[in-house]
Amino acid sequence: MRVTTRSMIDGLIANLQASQEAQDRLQNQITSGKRVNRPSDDPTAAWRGVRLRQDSAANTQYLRNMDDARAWLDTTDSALDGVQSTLAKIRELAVQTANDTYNATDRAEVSHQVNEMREHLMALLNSTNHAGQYVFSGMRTSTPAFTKDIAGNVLYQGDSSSIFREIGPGTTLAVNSFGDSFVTMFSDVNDLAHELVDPHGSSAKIALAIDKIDQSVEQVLNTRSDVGAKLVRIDFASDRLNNQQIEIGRIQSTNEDVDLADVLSKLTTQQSVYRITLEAAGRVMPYSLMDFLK
Amino acid sequence: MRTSFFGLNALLASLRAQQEAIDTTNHNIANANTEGFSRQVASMAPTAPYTLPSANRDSGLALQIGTGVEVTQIKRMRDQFNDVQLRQQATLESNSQTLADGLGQVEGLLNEPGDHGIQNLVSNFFNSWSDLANNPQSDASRAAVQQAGLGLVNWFNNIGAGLEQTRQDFDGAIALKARELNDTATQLAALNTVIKRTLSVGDSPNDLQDRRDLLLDKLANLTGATYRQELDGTTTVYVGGRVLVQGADTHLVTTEQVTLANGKQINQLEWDHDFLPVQVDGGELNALLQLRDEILPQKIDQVDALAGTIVQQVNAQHLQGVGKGPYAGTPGSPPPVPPNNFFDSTKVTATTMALDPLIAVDLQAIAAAGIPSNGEGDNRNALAMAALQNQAFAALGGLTINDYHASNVASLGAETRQVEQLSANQKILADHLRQRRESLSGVALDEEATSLIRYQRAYQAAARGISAMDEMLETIISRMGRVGL
Repeated sequence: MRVTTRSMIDGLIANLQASQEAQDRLQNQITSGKRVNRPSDDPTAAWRGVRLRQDSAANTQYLRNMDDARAWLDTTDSALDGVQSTLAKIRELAVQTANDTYNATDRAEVSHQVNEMREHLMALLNSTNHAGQYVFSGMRTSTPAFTKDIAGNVLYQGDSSSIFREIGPGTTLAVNSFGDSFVTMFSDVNDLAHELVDPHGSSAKIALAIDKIDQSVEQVLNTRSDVGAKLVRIDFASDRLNNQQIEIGRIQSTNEDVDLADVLSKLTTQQSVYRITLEAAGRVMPYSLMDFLK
Repeated sequence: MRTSFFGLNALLASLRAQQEAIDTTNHNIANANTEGFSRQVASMAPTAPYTLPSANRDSGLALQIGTGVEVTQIKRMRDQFNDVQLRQQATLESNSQTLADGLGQVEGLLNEPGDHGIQNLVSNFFNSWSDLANNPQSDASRAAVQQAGLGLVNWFNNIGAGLEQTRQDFDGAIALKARELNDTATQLAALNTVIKRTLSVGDSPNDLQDRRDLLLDKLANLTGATYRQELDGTTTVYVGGRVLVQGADTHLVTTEQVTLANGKQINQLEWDHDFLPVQVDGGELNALLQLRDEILPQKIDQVDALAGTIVQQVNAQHLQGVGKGPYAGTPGSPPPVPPNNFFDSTKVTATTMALDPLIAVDLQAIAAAGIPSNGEGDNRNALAMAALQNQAFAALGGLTINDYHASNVASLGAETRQVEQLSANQKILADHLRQRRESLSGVALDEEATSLIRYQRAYQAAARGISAMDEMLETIISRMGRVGL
């Protein structure tokens, strides 16, 4: 094929352009660290990249929701722990006074203590979480769960709505326990306190009151086991999500990240090609017949 | 019987012919770098021989004596067939190149996959509702929802405006290309006239034909125009099956501002003699028309569908809840004010999307609670809102918001990649044909240098021949019959 001066130069320019374009692309990959900078670089990888980011963002939120749920449940559990030990103390006192060796003054003293502990129970069941929400009030989270009226009766101010947290796609968990299941506990403790100072009271009646306290303790244990089960469920779910996040991160990296060693070696090769092309051109280009004609 | 001065003519003819050949070579050398130049070759042929009658000779055969040389034609080295092939290929090449560039622009706007695109802002938005569900009484959580909504709205506005601007840019480019088309057609018609005139007097209008070929190349790139060489030497050019240039006449194109059904304006290409629309089958103009009329509108529709669906579905969910404080009223009783939208419901495209004016100023109107509100901790609506992310919508073809966006990104990527690969392949083919053309029609300086030597030597030899004849004549004229003097 006949080769003209222009076709040689055009060919040279085209080759240099191609080499520079390749170098530019490789440098771009190195500086961004990404193999896929635009969807057209690899459409399937781009699709996967978008989906992985969506999943990762959603999982991060679920983990956050679980942390919040865990905090709520922990607050609930430690309050109920206090309630449980307070009730145990009350029971102990009641058992002691059921022993007829206590006189009226002693009983009055014990009754007073019981009333104090009743206040303590109320304070425990009015616990708030880190966000200042009353955890036993149902959805009335800005209102203390229990209050006392003028007559000294403990009233429940919350409602019976469950509060849910989303811990997975389409999966919710009710995190709260209702204070209203403890209303009878307060009146039972109140009754006990009255019983102790009742001149017509008897050990039998006190024993009955103690039974009622036991029922309340049973209630607390049930609620605590429910809370415990939920905490375990959250632990499992968050473990799984955490593992999933790690896996997502790994897939995303394989999907999009540049293999630096590979790209660097390609860039080096491309640079040599460029230099060699220039050198070859330098040897061939300058000469023509004109140089040798007199 | 021959005449004395017979040989001189042949040598003179040689001088003339070699001189002309050198002129042609000089012309080639001078135009070695001119775009579209085809090298020219002086074709020499012997002049008509002088026939000696046979009657006077024993053998009875006629005798032909050569009389010299002449340049019969200055040939233009050009392969018309290669030109046709190259132009067809160049049309395809410029078409896919323009498409690839246009789609590349759209990819740049969308900025996916990455941490700063629609995907990120949508995830952020729904997550902020989830955080609000954890803390419905918190003003900080509400502020986060409002900001996330604003961020989403701003980004959609940007992308919508960017896509629309790109579409308008293509529209402007079409108007410019139409002007270019007209200029080229006018020049071609003028060349047709001169070439026809030149040919009719028997000359070879080589350089004019080169210029005309350049214009035909340009038309091929621009519109995929087809052409036909007529017998009178003019070229008739067709665009979309209709005549653009015929002889000295042109039918130019014009643009008319037309308003589409969706209210947008475009420059419509029409023939200026009957205002029928111009059908452009290939080349840059066809690509620009595709980009402006099919590709960009499709991408705009997709983004609008996403924005519109988000506005409608979020609003529908928002109307099922109430905010806090004055919007909630007392727990358990119906809300004192009717529920409100989250986004402005009258603005459902990406470019116009906006927050509802109430939400923009009053955080308490953000509806985290259900109806009727059960208290400050009521997060039912916030939970439902966060779950919208995983819901499939008919308006999105039965996909969730996330899936719709991801599949649009993927198909844009696939479309662009395919066009880019097509463009690269077509470039290879076109370059190959260009090389063929250059190989035949291009100037090789070494070759021209040797031609110069060739013609120069022939010229010298002819001049020498004349000197020899001169000496011979000198013998006859000056020295014959001078015996003893």
